[in-house]
Amino acid sequence: MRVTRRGFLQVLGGTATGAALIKQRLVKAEDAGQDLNKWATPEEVVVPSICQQCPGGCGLLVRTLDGEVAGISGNPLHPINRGTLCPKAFGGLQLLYDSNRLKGPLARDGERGRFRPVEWDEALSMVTARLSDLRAKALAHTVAILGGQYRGYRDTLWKRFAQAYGTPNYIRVRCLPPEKPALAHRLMQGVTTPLGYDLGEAQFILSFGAGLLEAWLGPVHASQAFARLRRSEERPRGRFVQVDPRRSPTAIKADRWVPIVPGTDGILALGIANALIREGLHDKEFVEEHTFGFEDWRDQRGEPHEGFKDLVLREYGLLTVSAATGVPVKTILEIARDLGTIKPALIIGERGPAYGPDDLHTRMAIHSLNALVGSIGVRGGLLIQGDLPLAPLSPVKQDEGAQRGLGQARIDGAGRGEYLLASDAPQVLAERILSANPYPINALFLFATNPLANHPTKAELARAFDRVPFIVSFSPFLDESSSMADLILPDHTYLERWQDDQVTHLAGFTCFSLARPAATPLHQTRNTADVVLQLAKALGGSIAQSLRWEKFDDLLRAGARGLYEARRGYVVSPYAEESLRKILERQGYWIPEFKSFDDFWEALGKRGAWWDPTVLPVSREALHTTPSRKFEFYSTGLKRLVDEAVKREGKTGSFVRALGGQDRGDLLFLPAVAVPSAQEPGEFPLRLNTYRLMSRPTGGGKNQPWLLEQPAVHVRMTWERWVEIHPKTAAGLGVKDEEWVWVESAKGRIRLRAKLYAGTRPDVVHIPLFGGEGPSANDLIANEVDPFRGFGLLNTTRVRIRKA
Amino acid sequence: MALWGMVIDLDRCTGCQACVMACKAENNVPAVGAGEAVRGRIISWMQVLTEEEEGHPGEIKRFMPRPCLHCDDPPCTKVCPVYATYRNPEGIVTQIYARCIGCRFCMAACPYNAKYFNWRRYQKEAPGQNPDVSVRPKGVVEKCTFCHHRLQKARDRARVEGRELAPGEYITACAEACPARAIVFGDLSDPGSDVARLARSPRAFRLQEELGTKPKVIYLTEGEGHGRA
Amino acid sequence: MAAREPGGRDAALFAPIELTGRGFYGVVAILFLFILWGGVAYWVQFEEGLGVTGLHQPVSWGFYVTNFVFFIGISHAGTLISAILRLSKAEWRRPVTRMAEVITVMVLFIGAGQILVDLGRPDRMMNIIRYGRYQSPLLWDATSISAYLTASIVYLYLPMIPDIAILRDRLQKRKLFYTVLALGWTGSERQQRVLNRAIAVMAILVIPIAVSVHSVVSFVFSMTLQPMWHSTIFGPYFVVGAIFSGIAALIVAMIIFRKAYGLQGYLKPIHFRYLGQLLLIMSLLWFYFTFAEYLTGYYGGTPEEMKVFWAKFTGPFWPFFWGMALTNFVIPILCLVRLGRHTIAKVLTASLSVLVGMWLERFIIVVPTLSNPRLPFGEGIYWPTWVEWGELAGSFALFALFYLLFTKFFPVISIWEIREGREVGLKEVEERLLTYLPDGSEAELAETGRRW
Ligand SMILES: Nc1nc2c(c(=O)[nH]1)N[C@H]1C(S)=C(S)[C@@H](COP(=O)(O)OP(=O)(O)OC[C@H]3O[C@@H](n4cnc5c(=O)[nH]c(N)nc54)[C@H](O)[C@@H]3O)O[C@H]1N2
Ligand SMILES: Nc1nc2c(c(=O)[nH]1)N[C@H]1C(S)=C(S)[C@@H](COP(=O)(O)OP(=O)(O)OC[C@H]3O[C@@H](n4cnc5c(=O)[nH]c(N)nc54)[C@H](O)[C@@H]3O)O[C@H]1N2
Ligand code: SF4
Ligand code: SF4
Ligand code: SF4
Ligand code: SF4
Ligand code: SF4
Ligand SMILES: [Mo]
Repeated sequence: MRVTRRGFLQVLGGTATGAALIKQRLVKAEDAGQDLNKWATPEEVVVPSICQQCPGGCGLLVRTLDGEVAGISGNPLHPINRGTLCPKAFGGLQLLYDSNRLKGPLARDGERGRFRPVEWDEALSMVTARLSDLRAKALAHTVAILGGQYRGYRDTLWKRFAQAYGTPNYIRVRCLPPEKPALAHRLMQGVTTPLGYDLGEAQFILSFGAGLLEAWLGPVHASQAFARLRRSEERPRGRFVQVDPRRSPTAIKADRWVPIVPGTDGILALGIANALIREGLHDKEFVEEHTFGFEDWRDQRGEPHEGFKDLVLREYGLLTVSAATGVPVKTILEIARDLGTIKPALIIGERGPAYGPDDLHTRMAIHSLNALVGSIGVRGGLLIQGDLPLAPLSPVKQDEGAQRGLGQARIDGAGRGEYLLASDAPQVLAERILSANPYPINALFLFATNPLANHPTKAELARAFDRVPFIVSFSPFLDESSSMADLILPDHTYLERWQDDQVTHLAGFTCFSLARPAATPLHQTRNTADVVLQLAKALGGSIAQSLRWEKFDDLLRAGARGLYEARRGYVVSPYAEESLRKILERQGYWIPEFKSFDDFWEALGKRGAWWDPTVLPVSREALHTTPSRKFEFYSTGLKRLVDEAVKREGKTGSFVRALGGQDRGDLLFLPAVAVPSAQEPGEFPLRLNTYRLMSRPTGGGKNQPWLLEQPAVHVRMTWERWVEIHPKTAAGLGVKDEEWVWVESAKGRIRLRAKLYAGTRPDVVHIPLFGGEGPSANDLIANEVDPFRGFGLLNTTRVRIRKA
Repeated sequence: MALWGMVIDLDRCTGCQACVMACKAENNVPAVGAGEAVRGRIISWMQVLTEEEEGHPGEIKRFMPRPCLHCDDPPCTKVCPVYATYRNPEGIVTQIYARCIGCRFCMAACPYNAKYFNWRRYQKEAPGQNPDVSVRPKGVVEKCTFCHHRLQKARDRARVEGRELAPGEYITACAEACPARAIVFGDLSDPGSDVARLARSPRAFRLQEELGTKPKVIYLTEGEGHGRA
Repeated sequence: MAAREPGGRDAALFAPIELTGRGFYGVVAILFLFILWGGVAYWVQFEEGLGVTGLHQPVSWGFYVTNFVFFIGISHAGTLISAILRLSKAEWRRPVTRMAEVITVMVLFIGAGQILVDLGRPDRMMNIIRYGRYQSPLLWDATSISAYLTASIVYLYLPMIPDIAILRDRLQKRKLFYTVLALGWTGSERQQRVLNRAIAVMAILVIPIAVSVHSVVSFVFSMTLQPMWHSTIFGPYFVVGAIFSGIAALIVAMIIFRKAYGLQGYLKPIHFRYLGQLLLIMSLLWFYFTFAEYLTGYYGGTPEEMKVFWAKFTGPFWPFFWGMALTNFVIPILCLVRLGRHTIAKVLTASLSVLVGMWLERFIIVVPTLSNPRLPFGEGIYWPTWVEWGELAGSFALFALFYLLFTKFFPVISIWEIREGREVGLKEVEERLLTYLPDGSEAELAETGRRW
């Protein structure tokens, strides 16, 4: 192939326009810090940053004039977004300049009295005094830290702080930890790092309720993959099927929208498996060589076990599946045929919120389809992620106080008993704090989370917060949770601070993004990461030793040294250069670009990211780190956990109970989802679904008028929350478009405007997560917990609608 | 002379509204506020419309982002009594905010509803604005300008560097942002450019073509087969 | 106060000028209240912007443009009707023309004012002159309305000269005012001849101008490509509508002044019968145009047109559309077909109905098209705010006030034309009649006269 410069650029951007655009932005990126526009009066500097409006991890270029932000665009070098962005990214401008931002630390007058501004020194000494005091009283473990959706060194820092200080209670309030392997992947493949869905190369994508183009792991990256699936020079138009009770924008763009009864995805997946097997369309070679538990088998003791195949053929006949899921038999068959014939096919079953009470087995059932079509460890399927070669940090120093604290059980019980498999269980937090079980909480830190708005147990949590004598929030805003705090130490917003992002869930590459402050901080705020270091220093001793960096950027620098020394990967650079390196690397050469770490660090800051694009040819065996070294339809790992739990706690132990009891026998370890018996509609005939709007940033976006004004295109609403109802359902209730209605559940009722939307199952109503005015759907959602994720079940609640 | 145009691939477009917000940020288009928004006064130079499935009312079939189409024979400019909107020699239909008398005749005449009126004083100097774009007073009409200021900047830069404007050096904010790369912008008069090539695609169509407005924003429908065209 | 000549002939015509009663002040006070409302409304709008109206995207034209078209339409009452009547030498015109002409002049100011009220930047009004762009129908409007206004003022003024002279000679007050305006009128034969010629010329001149005015008003709509606007018959359709509403307005004005100023002796049922018949004809003509317009739209059936069409017929605008059909056609027909008894009451009913109907017609032309855009934006509804109602009320009040004030300075019925009618008209008519008739015996003539 003759490689022209233009050709190179073309591949990168997909089009010459894109390429030229990238070239143009590059000039800017490269010249960042230099006097690019000599003729312009204010000094224009373009600073790379990282978008923090969702977990997508896109790279930004922030245009600043004399330190004031004057625009945001995508970083064309950044491998995740390649210069493009989503609507939320632009809301960042309004977030930064929100006039309601906290201008500095606030403390209370007396017992939860009025807020008054305080100096940082005073505020910090208040925290240190409290923390020292608790530690002195051997109550270090009664400090709980609640963290939201973020990752990278901020997570590292908090984790280290908790470990050095001595509390086991660093609790993350979220249901999708992108930096961790999915539970189903862990159980069925034994992996310990996240698998990446290779969306960009798949030719057929079947998504079970992942909001690919709106939410999930990053809509920009997924949109680019989608665009490639739709139209690219090298391959025919791919196919895309979206299973979702709601005809979301993602479903609209799909070739087929499969409206499903919420929570029955596992059954549908098994129905598809049934059709695949029956028609002999599954990947027989893969199944034979790389899987365990497909056929009937005998264990060491010679006892027979039913295999996946027989189970599926016996239990999940298409008529049964169709009746339970509401999906026509013909559709099931057609999906199965597509799956069996279009390669590579990718099945996504890791949406954020749970699929309902059978979540774990549902995810296993969906993932088993990936094995059936042999999409594990192939391009366009599921791929392993390389680890980021960040420099390892010295082990945390733990003094006696720390060890004592860490020896205590977590307040939320995660990692033991019924929450054995959950890393965090925020759902039970309120109840545990209220009952001081196993101990009362004496101090609570809130970092980047607002559980009093976003959690189904928000009312209970509010009461629990009343019981906590000392609450510190780091929010830059006065939200539902921070307004309950005793002390607010406002963080910088993301355009004002040093930060990193570590993205590991993308197929084919790993990526470390680095951002230095783009804007001069507007107010007396401080990067919470720096504040944590300051607190550690003030607490002294082993805590200070464990967190001995002066500033957060020192820590980032220390970690990034590992990237420099890894002798692989690159600081992102124009595509032509990168391709050349890639070619060389395939031939076994890796040429260092930088003479010193300082040069490397400098370039990293100027270009915004490091990545390792070389796809390591990982053998399928390497992906199967289970005891059998195979993909396990029958999870021996889960079996072992259960056996251990039984040994420890007996057959009626909480973990076993959480799994549905020993009675299920082998079904516990297989992807088997019980087919529910038909239910009477009863008092609450409708199902409630909450979902994320593309325009909704994490944090809600209350302060971002552009996004509030045009939140959606599938319904016309503005500034105000709404509930989507099928026109037929609405007609039955006598409800007209934009009329006020009461949405009532057994837990409570809220008043919203009705939007008639034909793109839904008629028996489901939908309330978007949206920062606009209006009450919260979490006031309706039943407090049910998913023991494997420790989070609430968000789509099992039933409601009725009445005209208001 | 260049003839600036845009191709929007509806097969790729996901209706995400990145283009909408990118445009607002680039062109200092303010949010009008809750009260005004419910009254239907949102200003959105780029707007994502939805097309319904035939025979299935309410079921959305596809998304259709709509900037000003920069008609080559624009019905809006003809009716303006004061020359406050006109087609420039490179085909860009522009607005002169300082001259507009706010009669809204151009709005009534635009078959694509691409023009927006400042019913009140929505725009105020505020931090975070793009200094390259002026802030509009109340009482005047505004609309997508194909990010005309970017052309001026790119030209200036090229001139300072003593060279010609390179293809692709001038690109609109919406095209730049679009994550699905559904928007391609460039010079329609250069037959080798991507826009020109895509505009010749068998999938290409123009909105309300029968009106003879000759829009320079060209859409591509869905369709099977390889390739971007 | 000038002494009234009791028993003087045509005393009733001088009365309003000579005497001003409590009723007048009462009416003026009420009108002032409305004008105040309009004034406050405009002030608020000027400060805040057009945001205080109900207008929005996509309905960017509403009340003001409707009122503009409506008022300009009414203006055809006058000059056009009076000119046609004059030219056709309809003798019964004599007590009618003045009132008609006054309507035209007054209402033109109000009508043109609507456009100014509608501007987003009234402060830049002069740009129309500085940067005027003749491709824009708005400029055609500006031109032809100014021409019409000028011509109408002249056309109103000319036949007023002899009356002003009468007032100059008769009244004690405002001597200077009348003297100046009378231009030294003595009533000499030469002056009379010149005046008659001038009036005749103006009458011929104003007809094409009037026709052009409402044609170009219609062009504001029909020159765009919008569904149900882009129509070739809009010009004549608007002109017919204009004359239609003009006659109705004239009738209403006549009935009001007849009652208020006791002009029963001048404005007799016959006048109303004739005008009623004219109104009936216009109603039929209007119906014909409407029918033709909607039928072609319906037959063509392009989706965009049909969207607007159904929005009017069965959609959100049905009350307006069917209201228009009722008030512009059904009610006038029912009232006017047989004008046996209760002529005046019936004609009044029909006229008021037509005034409402023609306003609705303008509204139904302006708004539904805008609220049903070609592209899928969803329909926009539109409802005016207190500001727009205020402007409407204020406009009507201002018009009424202008009119009322006029009647306090000048006779609403042309005194000299009435006198002329008495003196020369009768003879002239008889002569003229004779010229029409086939030559025949006196007996036949008498017979014919009896039958007709
Ligand atoms: N724009 C945006 N992106 C985000 C976030 C955000 O707030 N805004 N938050 C981030 C976070 S924290 C998370 S956890 C992820 C979540 O990412 P997603 O899981 O993609 O997000 P959701 O919108 O909650 O759910 C996706 C879809 O699942 C559908 N659904 C609901 N119940 C069922 C069911 O039982 N079966 C099936 N098949 N579908 C169902 C919903 O209708 C919805 O369309 O998104 C991340 N990305
Ligand atoms: N009904 C329903 N409820 C749900 C879900 C659902 O799908 N349906 N999804 C659940 C899921 S998956 C998640 S992850 C949670 C998310 O819920 P939360 O964990 O509460 O996360 P956010 O909404 O992102 O709230 C982030 C908060 O952090 C603060 N913040 C914003 N920016 C910064 C910053 O720069 N620094 C600091 N220190 N703080 C900042 C703000 O106060 C903001 O309110 O919601 C859950 N709740
Ligand atoms: S996908 Fe997420 S990270 Fe990327 S631009 Fe959008 S909000 Fe920002
Ligand atoms: S940004 Fe691109 S994909 Fe998103 S709505 Fe606009 S054109 Fe469509
Ligand atoms: S789309 Fe409308 S505003 Fe744009 S040029 Fe065409 S007619 Fe004018
Ligand atoms: S609103 Fe302004 S731009 Fe539009 S026609 Fe009137 S003067 Fe021209
Ligand atoms: S071309 Fe520029 S002005 Fe027009 S819609 Fe796109 S971003 Fe907005
Ligand atoms: Mo989440």
